[in-house]
Amino acid sequence: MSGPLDGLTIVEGGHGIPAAYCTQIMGVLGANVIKIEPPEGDETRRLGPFPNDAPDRESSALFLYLNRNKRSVTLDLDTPSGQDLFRSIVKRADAVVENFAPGYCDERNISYAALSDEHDSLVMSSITPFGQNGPYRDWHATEMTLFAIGGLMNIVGDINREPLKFGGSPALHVAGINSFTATMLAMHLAETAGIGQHVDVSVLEGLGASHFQDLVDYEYHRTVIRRGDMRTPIPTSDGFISFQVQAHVYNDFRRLILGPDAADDDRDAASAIQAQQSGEMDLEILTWSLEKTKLEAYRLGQEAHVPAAYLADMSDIMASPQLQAREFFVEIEHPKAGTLTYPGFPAKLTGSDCRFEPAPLLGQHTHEVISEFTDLSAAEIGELQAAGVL
Amino acid sequence: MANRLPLEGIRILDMGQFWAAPNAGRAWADAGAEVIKVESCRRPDPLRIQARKIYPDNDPGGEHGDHWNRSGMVNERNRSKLSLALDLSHPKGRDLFIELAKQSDAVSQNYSLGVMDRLGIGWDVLHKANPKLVMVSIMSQGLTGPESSYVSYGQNLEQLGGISYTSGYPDDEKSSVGFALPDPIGGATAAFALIAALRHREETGEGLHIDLSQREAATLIIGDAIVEYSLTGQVPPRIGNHEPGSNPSECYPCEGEDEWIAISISNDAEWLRLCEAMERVNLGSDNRFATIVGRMRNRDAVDELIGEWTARFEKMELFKLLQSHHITAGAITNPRELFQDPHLRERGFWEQVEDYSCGTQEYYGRPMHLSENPYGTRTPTPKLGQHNYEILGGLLSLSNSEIDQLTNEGVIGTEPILTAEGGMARRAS
Repeated sequence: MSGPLDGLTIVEGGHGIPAAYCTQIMGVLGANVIKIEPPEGDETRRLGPFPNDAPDRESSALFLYLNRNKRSVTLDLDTPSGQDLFRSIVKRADAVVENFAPGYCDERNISYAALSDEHDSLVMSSITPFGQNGPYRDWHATEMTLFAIGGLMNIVGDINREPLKFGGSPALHVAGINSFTATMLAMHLAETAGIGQHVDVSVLEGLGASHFQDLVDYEYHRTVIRRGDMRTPIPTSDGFISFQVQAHVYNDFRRLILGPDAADDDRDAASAIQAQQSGEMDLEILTWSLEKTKLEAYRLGQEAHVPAAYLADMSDIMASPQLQAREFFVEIEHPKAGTLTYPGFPAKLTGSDCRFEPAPLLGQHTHEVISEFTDLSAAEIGELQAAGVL
Repeated sequence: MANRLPLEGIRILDMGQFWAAPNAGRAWADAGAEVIKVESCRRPDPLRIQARKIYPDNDPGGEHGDHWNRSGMVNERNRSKLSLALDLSHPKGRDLFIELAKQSDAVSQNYSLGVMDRLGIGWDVLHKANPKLVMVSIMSQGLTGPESSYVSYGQNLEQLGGISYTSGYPDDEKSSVGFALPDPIGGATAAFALIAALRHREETGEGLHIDLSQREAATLIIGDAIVEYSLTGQVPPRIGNHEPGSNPSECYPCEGEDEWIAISISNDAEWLRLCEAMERVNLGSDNRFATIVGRMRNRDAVDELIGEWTARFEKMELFKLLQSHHITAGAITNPRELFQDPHLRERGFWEQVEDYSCGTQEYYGRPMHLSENPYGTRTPTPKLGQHNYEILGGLLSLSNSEIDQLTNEGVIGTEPILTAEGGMARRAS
C-alpha cells in the first residue's frame, strides 16, 4: 500500500514546533521530507528531559516526536554557499514549509521571490506568530503570549485566579495543522494548474478561529464572556471524572446516580440541570463516585448514555484499552534514544498506510541529499563540509 | 482571469453538526468546494435549535420568525455552504442521498457510531454506489474499539486526551480546564485528512474511508508528552503558565478588574530589557535575579516584583510598551478587544457577512492566506433547506412538481419539526 502524499518532496526550515509538526504529518502520510538544520541543530534538540538527565541532542522527546520520517541536512544559511545549496534543493522540491522569523529569508536570498524565480510552481508556506504583515509582524511571542492575545486565556482558568494557558503547545501545533491544509491546497493548484504561491500562516489567527461561543456572544449581543468558577471534577477512589449532563440525558443521569427506580424529575430540564450544577445532588454523586475507580465510573456513565470522561494523565493514556485496541501507539527504534512509544496517527485510511521511521541524527543525510539534489561531486561536498557550510 | 479556488470542482455532502465537523466543512467550502450541508427538519444541526442559543440582540424572532436561521453558533461555522434539509429516515430521503453521493466526491459525518448504517447510508452502501467516493467519519473515539460507542463533547475529550491533565494550576491537582480544544483540533484534523485523501484518490482512482478519532487527534497535539513518558517513565508535573526555558513566565495583574498581561522572559538579556522597561536597572545586577537559576529559585519574589509594577498599567498600553523594549508579552484579550485588535484589523482577519436572517455580522476568517489564489467566506451560512430546489432540480434533475411533492410528504422542508425534549440528537461534537 501507499500513502496519500507519496511522490511529494517537502523542504522544512526553521526551529521549533509549527513547521516541524506540519512536515512530520506529511511524512507519516508518505511525503519525502528534508529537514534543513543549522550546523548546531534545531533548537528543540536541546529541550529535555533526557534519559539519565544526560543532555543529548539525539534524545529530546520533543525533537524525536516532531521529526519522525525526515532526513536531516545541516546547512549554514548565513553563508552564500549554504544559501546556494538551499536554493538547489528547493529547485527540485514541491514545497517549502518554514517558520523562520519574518524577514529572515529575505536577508538570505531564500525568500519566496528568490526561490520561485527558479521554480514557477513552488509552494512556500511561512508560519509566523503574527503573519507576514501588520503592526505586530516583528513582535516577540511564545505559546503563552499568543494564547493571551488570541483571546483564549481570557476564558481558561478560574475567575478567582490568574488566567491559564493550556499545557504543551497546542497553538503551535494547530498552526502546523493549518499549514498542512493550506500547503496541500496550494500544491493541488501547482500540480493541476502549474500555479505556485506563498502561503502566509499566522499562529495568532489559528487561535482566533478556535473560539467556541464567546466571539458570537459579543458580536450578536455585546456580551463579554469571561472565565467562570473552575468546576471541580468529581473524585473517585483513584482519580477524577466528570459528566457533561445535557437536557436529553438528565433523567438518565439521575438514574445512574440515584438508582434505576428513580422517577423522572418533574421540573423542566434546564432548571433541574442548573440545580444539579449548583450542588443539589453533590452528596449523592460523591456517595456513588467514591466507591468506584475512575474507569468504572466512566464506563457506567457512558453505558447510561451520559457523556462521561476521566482526567487522564500520560500513564492512563498509554494504558487505555480503547487506544490500545485501535493500535494508536507505535514503537519506533532510534539508534541513540532506543525503542520508545509514540502516538501514531489519529485516523485510519482504508487502502493507505502510515509511515513511522525514527527522527534523523543531526546531519545524518547531508551527503546523501546533496548528492541526490545537486550535481556536486564527492570532493566538492567534502570541501563544503571542511569549511563548515554543511 | 477569475481567481481559481483550490477545491473548485469538488462536491462534498457535509452532515456535520455541532462544532468540529461543520468547521471542517467550512474549510473545504471556503477553499472552493461545493459543500452541501445536509440536515433534516426532523433533525437539524442541534446548534440551530438547542444547546447554547445565541441570537442577534438576544432576539430569537427576527423578521420572519425563523429563529433556527438566527443562531450565531450555526452562522459562524457554516459559511460558504449550501443547505439541503432532507429526511434521511424516510426511504425517499435515503434514496435521494445515495443519488447525490453518486455525484459527489466526498461525504463528511459525525453521527454516533452506527447511525449511518441504521439510516442505510453506511460506508459499504455509499462505496458500492460510488467507488470513487471519499468519506470521513469524524468520531469521538473512532469506529472501532471497546469505547467506540461512547458519546462525548469536546470537554470530555479534553480530559480523555490528556490536555486537561497537563493544563491545571500546579498547586491544585483537581483543577481542570473546561474549554473544548479537541473540537477545533478535530475539525482542523478532518479538514487536512480529507484533502490528503482526495489526493490519494487522484493517484489510485479508489475511494477511501477515513476513520478519525477526535480523542486521538487531541492526544497527538501533546504527543511529545507521550514520548517523554516513554523515555523517563515519569508523568510530567503540571507547570501552569511556566513555559519551559522561560524565567519568569506568568500572567501578571494590570489596572482594573480581572485584567492581565502574560510575560515570558527567555534569557538574561531579555531580563535586563525588562529591568530597563521597569526603570529598575539596578535589578539587572541583583544576584538573586540576574541569572536563570537565580530567577528560578526566587520565582515568588520575581513574580511579586513584576506584578507590583504591571498593576500600575492599563494592559494594552503595557503590551505596547513591553514590545517596544523587545520583551515577549501579550495582553489577556477579551472578545471586544480581539475584534478591535489593530493587527488583526489590518490583516483583514475578520470577515463581514450579510447574513440572511441576522443582518450584518462579523466572524473570524481563515488563519491561512494564499498569495495567488486567496480564499475566504463566499456566501453566508444558508438557511435551513434554502437550496432544496436548486440541488434536487439541478443535480438530480427533479422537476419542480416532483420537488413540491417531496415537500408535501415531509421528505424535504425549510422549518424544523420540533419534537419533545429528548427526541433530538444523542450525539456530541
